[in-house]
Amino acid sequence: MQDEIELLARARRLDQEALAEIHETYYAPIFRYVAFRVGDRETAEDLTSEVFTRLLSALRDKAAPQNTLRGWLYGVASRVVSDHHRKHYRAPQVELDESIASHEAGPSEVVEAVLTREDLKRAMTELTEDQKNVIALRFGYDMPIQEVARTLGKTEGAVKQLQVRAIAALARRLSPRMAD
Amino acid sequence: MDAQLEWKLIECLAALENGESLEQILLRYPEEAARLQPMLAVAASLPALRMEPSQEARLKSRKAFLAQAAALEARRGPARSRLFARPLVTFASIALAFILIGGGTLAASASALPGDPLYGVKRIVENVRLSITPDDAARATLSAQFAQERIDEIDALLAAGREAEVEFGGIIQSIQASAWLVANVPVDIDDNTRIEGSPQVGLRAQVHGRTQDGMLTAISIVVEPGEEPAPAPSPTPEPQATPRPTPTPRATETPEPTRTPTPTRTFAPTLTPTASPTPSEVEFEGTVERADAQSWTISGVTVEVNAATEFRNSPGVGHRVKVKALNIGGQLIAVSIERIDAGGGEDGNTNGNDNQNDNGNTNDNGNENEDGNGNGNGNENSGGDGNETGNDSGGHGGDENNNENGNGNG
Repeated sequence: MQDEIELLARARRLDQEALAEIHETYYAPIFRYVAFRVGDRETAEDLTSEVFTRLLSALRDKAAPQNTLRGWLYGVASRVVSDHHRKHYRAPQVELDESIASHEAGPSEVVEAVLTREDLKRAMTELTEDQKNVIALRFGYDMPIQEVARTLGKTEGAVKQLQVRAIAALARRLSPRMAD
Repeated sequence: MDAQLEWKLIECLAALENGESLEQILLRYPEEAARLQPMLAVAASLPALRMEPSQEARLKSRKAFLAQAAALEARRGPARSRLFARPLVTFASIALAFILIGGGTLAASASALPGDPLYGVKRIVENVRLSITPDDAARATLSAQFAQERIDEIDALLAAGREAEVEFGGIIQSIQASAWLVANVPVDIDDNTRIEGSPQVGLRAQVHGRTQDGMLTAISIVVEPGEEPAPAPSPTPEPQATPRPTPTPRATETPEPTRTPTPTRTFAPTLTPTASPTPSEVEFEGTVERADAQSWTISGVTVEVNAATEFRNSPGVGHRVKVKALNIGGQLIAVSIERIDAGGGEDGNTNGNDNQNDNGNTNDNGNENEDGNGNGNGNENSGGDGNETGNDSGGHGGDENNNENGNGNG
């Protein structure tokens, strides 16, 4: 945490090295989170870049985070995604058919269900905003429950419940036969 | 989904996260396995559904991000980023001056005098200007300008009768017991003045003092060492050749043989160079009660005399004298002893001669001459002779003569 405060202090002076380090550390988690939320690689790439641009604006306007860069960036990412959804609310969804089997998923994974990203993307739309965030943070941003709770301003118990309900909803959507 | 199932699912998800296999987890609640299984399957597949960023997109984003940052920094102000290259102190000083006080105040500080609230800012600004001047010659000019500024400030303080602590440096132009002239600023010396180094006209000194009621009293004076010529074997061997060069008839007038037996004065040269730790000069008047080769007692105060001691107007026991002495660790060493009661005037010239006459030790006299400067003595004598009618009314006349000559030589 101390490192991050120092990193932020340097970032506020627009120290290129510090900014590069921030980008290096947070690009992937932000991308994963955003990708979970939008389900589309290209859009996720654009929105992730947008998150970093907003970080610069915040540094310029002295609105930058004081100590929790990780949580702050999530907040920005969340807003960027919301803005995106608002703009594209009526726009036709981009067709996407990337199956996990064809990509990086190892055979070790127990995914007997033929779950594709497209499935997930559709299923995600069923979730509440909080549920989406929990899922995206937990499985995209890779945040532990505790940190998700802090980031969202909820108790750990509440986050666990949100997660469980989100997963139940996804399961219901993805395998309707199994859900009651 | 009921609360019971929720609880079970939470527990199973935790187990899943801990790396337990799906089969293993489902064994915990066999009765719920059918309902838990699809949910756990989804949860287990979610990490795999995670999209990984491509290296290409990451690099593209990084490049754009850093370029935006650089553009932002450029807009923030080129002056500032240029200063970043300067030492931190410089930046900190400027930042302090500008941020805390503001640019307008900075200009206002230019006329600040010691003791003014803005005086600190003025000095900071000066230091900053010096530190950002890369050229040696320009820096020297600036430095001289600031040194003059110190002196102008003191003039202003003195004119206004203000009280303030000041510091300045300059060439010592004259040294009197109670007042020096340094860089045209009269500096009062009092008992508490600490003097470091070997004071000498023409050397540089750093004066730290206090202005009050139009006077500057020195707290300390540090004399910078100059290239002092070694206490010279000197071009005045003549007195040695002629043990009795001065046929001055007035020798008789002075009841002075007391002082004369000076053969023991071997310690004499020690005073001149550097024997002093931190001498201060004292000045007092009194009546000579005792006088011998090594020390005189004047109104109860004993002062050492030596070859460097200047005797004016043939002082002797019973005479009223003005003594200038150096206080070296509590011991007073006479710089000059001047007879100031009436009648000493005519002796002004005799004095030196007298010494020479009576001293068995000619070497010693040689030294004395050197200290006073050979030329000076010559002038003194002839000048004194010529002027005698004008001067002989009192000791002071002779004194002035002496001083003038002394200054001229220095």
